[in-house]
Amino acid sequence: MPLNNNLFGVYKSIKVNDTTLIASSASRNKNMDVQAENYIQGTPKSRILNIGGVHETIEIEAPVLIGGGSVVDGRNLVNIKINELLNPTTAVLPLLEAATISVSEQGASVNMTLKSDGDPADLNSNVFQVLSVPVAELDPILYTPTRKARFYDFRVNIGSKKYFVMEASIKVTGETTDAYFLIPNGAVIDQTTYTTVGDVSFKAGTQFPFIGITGIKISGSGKAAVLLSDLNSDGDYFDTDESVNINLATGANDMTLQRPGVSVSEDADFVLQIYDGTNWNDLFPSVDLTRSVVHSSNFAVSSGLLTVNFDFTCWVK
Amino acid sequence: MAINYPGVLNQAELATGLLIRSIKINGQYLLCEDINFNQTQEIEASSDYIQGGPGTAIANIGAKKFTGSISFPIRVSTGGTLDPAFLEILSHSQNPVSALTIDTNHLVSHYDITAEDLATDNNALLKIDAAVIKSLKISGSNQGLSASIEIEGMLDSNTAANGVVPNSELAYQGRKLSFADCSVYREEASMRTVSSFEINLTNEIETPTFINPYLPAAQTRSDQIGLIGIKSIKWTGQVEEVMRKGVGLYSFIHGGWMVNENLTLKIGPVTTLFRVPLFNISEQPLSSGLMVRKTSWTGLIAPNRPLSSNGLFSY
Repeated sequence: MPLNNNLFGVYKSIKVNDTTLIASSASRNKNMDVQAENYIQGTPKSRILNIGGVHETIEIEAPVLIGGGSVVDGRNLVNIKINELLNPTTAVLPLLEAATISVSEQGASVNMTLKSDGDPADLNSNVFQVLSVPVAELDPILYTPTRKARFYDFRVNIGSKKYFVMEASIKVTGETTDAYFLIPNGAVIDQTTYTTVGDVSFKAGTQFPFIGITGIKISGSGKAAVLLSDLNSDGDYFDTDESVNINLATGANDMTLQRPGVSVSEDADFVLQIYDGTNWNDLFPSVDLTRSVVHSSNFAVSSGLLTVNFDFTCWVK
Repeated sequence: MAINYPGVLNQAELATGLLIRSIKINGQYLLCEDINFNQTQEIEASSDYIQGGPGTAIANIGAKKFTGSISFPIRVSTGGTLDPAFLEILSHSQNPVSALTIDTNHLVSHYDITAEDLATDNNALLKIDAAVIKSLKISGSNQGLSASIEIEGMLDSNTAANGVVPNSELAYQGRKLSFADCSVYREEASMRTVSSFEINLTNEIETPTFINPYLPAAQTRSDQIGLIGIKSIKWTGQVEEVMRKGVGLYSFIHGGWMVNENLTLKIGPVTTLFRVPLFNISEQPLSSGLMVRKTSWTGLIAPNRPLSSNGLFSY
């Protein structure tokens, strides 16, 4: 019988690190460095292959949900992984390489890229599970019905901009370095036994890298409509309260300019929150957005809405 | 023994004053032919996730606004005064940055966030206090005059609707204007053979939404559109003229503008004036019947002309 729905992903559910996640899409990509090399060898044919290490990345796009599904949406997993990234001693594979949460009129989504070592024998790395188990939290009778979070579920304060904000996103980036060590004398090279030196363990003689966290960055961007009102009818928009989300007056600037010998940050915090029915909660509660600089401001004048796009980068505490 | 009245009248539910099916535009009572105007919202359910089954488990509820259309006759009272509601419509259509409110006795609305109330909770008869006419179409022919508008709107405040009853008995005692109340002419032609005409005002509207601002005080959230913006305004028209001699060498429009041509369409006491019409090339199909030439145009106006009153209509 040709009816076979096992081919379709909507019938599956996924877990990462044993955490259930409702996703729009997810992929696990394993690859191994292989290059065909030519030497002075008497033939153009590939007789020598250069085979290197193994890499594994997991990419997930997940919605932000309200109701029963809110505990299994994208922000739950991403916040676990951000916490691990900010506190590397607690980190387990896969590591967070990048996570972006984007909020707009259409809703919010989390995009994350996770990195692992590709070792199929490692319980910590073999974390991308595809299951036949329905996500129970989406049952509208057993739990509260679920809906996509939309513009009315969020509030923002992006530096000095909080009115007429159309889009906002925050990105957390974890920089990592793959290291491969030569096999120490005396190590067991059965591909399953760890060699431990101090508090560091790694497998000797495998293609799977030792992954180290070398940098953590937090940045973001937004898009807001610009309101220009000639309140005193003098033909310009330079005067008090005549412009919102942009400052056109002489000497004014929409970036966080620095002064000699002083480190200047934005006057206002960056805030991106979601409403839970009673309180407003930070979408990334462990990310500190209180010290930041705005480093780009793109004022676009067209025949439609006047808009300004801006980017910011935070000091990471 | 009581005998039922023969026929279906024994099941009739007779109309009462509460069943006045009409609306008020800016507080003026408007007799309508058809009102199809409702609160609308993007509401759908999606199963397009990796979720363990194909069922529609996740609701998606977007922004809401009012949208729809109204058609109505153009009337004059017994004293020859134009319907005040029609004047409000003319005034707003040519100057859509002005205020427009709508009250009805039957349009039930929901002010709060849809997703946070059960589907039948907190409905009310509310005044639509921020509306914009998206288009006005007035057409006239031997079959009569008709007018229709398309409207978009939102609830700027949670205000109860005013009961819709006529402002006065005299206000709706009158007659519907007919083709005999109309004339069309321009500087270079008296246009005595016009058999039909159409006037269109098109206001291009955008209804963006915004994320809530972060405020220290209590937050007022809403799932309505953020505001109504009027992006462009276009005044166009069209006439059909019966050709008596088959060709009008010096009245055929080959396209282009005519400065101070003052193309005028009179509809009873209303004068519609296109000072600088930008004509399209006339179309003149040949048939075995009457030869009818169709000419359409767009009014060229100063960019800020629609920002003040009486840019097109005067009365």
